[in-house]
Amino acid sequence: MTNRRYRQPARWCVLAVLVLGLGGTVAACGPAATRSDDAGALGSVSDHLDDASSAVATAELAVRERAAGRLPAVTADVAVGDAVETATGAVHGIGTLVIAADGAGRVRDDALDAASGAVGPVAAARTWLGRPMSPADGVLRALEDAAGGLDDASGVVERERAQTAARAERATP
Amino acid sequence: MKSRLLTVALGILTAIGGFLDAGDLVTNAVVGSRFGLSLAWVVGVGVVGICVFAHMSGKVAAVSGRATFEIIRERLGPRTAGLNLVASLAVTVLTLIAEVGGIALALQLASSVDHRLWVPVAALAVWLVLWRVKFDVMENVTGLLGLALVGFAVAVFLLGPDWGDLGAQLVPQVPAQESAAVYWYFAIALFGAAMTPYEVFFFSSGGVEDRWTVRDLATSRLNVLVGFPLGGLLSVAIAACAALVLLPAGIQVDSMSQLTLPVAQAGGTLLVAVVIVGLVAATFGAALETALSTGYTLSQYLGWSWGKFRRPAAAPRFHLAMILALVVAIGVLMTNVDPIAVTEYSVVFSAVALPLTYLPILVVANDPEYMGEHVNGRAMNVLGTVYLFVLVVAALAAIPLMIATEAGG
Repeated sequence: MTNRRYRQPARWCVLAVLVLGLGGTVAACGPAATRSDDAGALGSVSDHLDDASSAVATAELAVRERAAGRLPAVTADVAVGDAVETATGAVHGIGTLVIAADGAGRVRDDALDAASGAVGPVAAARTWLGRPMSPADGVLRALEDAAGGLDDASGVVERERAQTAARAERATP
Repeated sequence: MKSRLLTVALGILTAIGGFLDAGDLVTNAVVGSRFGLSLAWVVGVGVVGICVFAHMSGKVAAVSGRATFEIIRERLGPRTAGLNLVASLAVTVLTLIAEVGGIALALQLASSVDHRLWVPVAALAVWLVLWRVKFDVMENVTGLLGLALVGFAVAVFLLGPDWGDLGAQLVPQVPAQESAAVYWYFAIALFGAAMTPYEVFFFSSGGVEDRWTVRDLATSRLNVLVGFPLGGLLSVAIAACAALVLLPAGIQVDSMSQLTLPVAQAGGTLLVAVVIVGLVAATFGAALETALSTGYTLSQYLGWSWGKFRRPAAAPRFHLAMILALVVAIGVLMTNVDPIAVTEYSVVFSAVALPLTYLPILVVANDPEYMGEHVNGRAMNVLGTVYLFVLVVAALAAIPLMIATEAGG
């Protein structure tokens, strides 16, 4: 009798947990899928630029440590290889976002250029790891330039995002 | 006397070395690189919690001579125990996937061979050890090799931080660039990583494997109360390494290779090599424990013959359950899923399953029919109840926060 009384609420609880779990997984799997408005899409662009910046910084640190003889070659190769994957993922992420407004679209295109421009230096860092006798200065300079480009693009994206959000707020009755 | 001391010391060292798993490694590094040490307090809360419940489940094993899950089924009935089984088993298999992926990633760091190629090798090695190696040898070797993770603590000292600044980071606060929701999401992830359900089932079943009796209670208590907090300090050391090197450089941790960068800066190639040995041992040890936990929970619930103290032929379904869990792990990892993402999800879903795992342990530890005069004292019950409240809050908040923050964004 007691068991029967609790059976119905228990079923609802299990169902609620399953729905929440499924919703959470879907939401977490694709940030772009849940950000259909332009301000939200620019937020995703900003997140991807952060990922690209993190990849560039990772490659830079790995190259510095390898050049100083403090990081084993195989481990440095894995660290920079992972950074290449992250940087490439950021380019893919920005490239697949849909932005309707012209201004925001141009900002997205500039961000895409900055992110694409960062992939080359990170990949070049991995190539440098295969030639340990050559100096790291050129590779590090290219990585610093890429980091600078990403910082600039991030600043522009954040400004455009704030303006887009303000415009959307004004347009809401 | 000398032999007794040696046993106690070995138990403590093994508890320290075996405390960390892929979830702890990844979550602490991620948190350190984003929040500095402002979430280190969660590790403290988690360590006290796991000490409370591991001690309880160890006591149940030592006093009754039976593993916790066997008694849970008997005491609470098949329906309630079944709910506990489903929740614990799902999270344990997810954790096993993360651990096998962790071994593969750690081996990749030492070889530069893609981790996907290491996955079947790692799973095969785990199965061979489970099949052939004695329980105490397996536990001691992985635990002692896991002590190599002390390299992270050494790295913190070698980096020569401003200790005042580092200490100031310990104050719980949401950094300017992060939202409160993300802060609490990672707090729950860290809590889930510290209190992973498989740990208590492994601890109590391990007590039965080691044939603990009431006389071993003091040793068990020492292992837990000294070993786990020291293991927790290693967790904080990983976060500190990330906070000192990766956070200022703007690096957000999304791969295991990034864990080696602060260590390289601090101690060079030798310390990196030591830490990689620790990473392999910690993930390998945790993979053994999680695989065993799947076998333990299923067998104890269904009344199958179980334990490594029996020959595999005498416990075939126990071994089959572990083999199936490993096959599932290989299958999932071969879909090209990111092992780091699996690890991040596993610790959050651990948090969701925590109350279902820990409430029955508290109930059994208070049952005089099983525990006799060794039932929980008042202080232990107060602590256990407070923690259950925290566990329920964390479990309820975990999924809504995961949705709101897009899994930590």
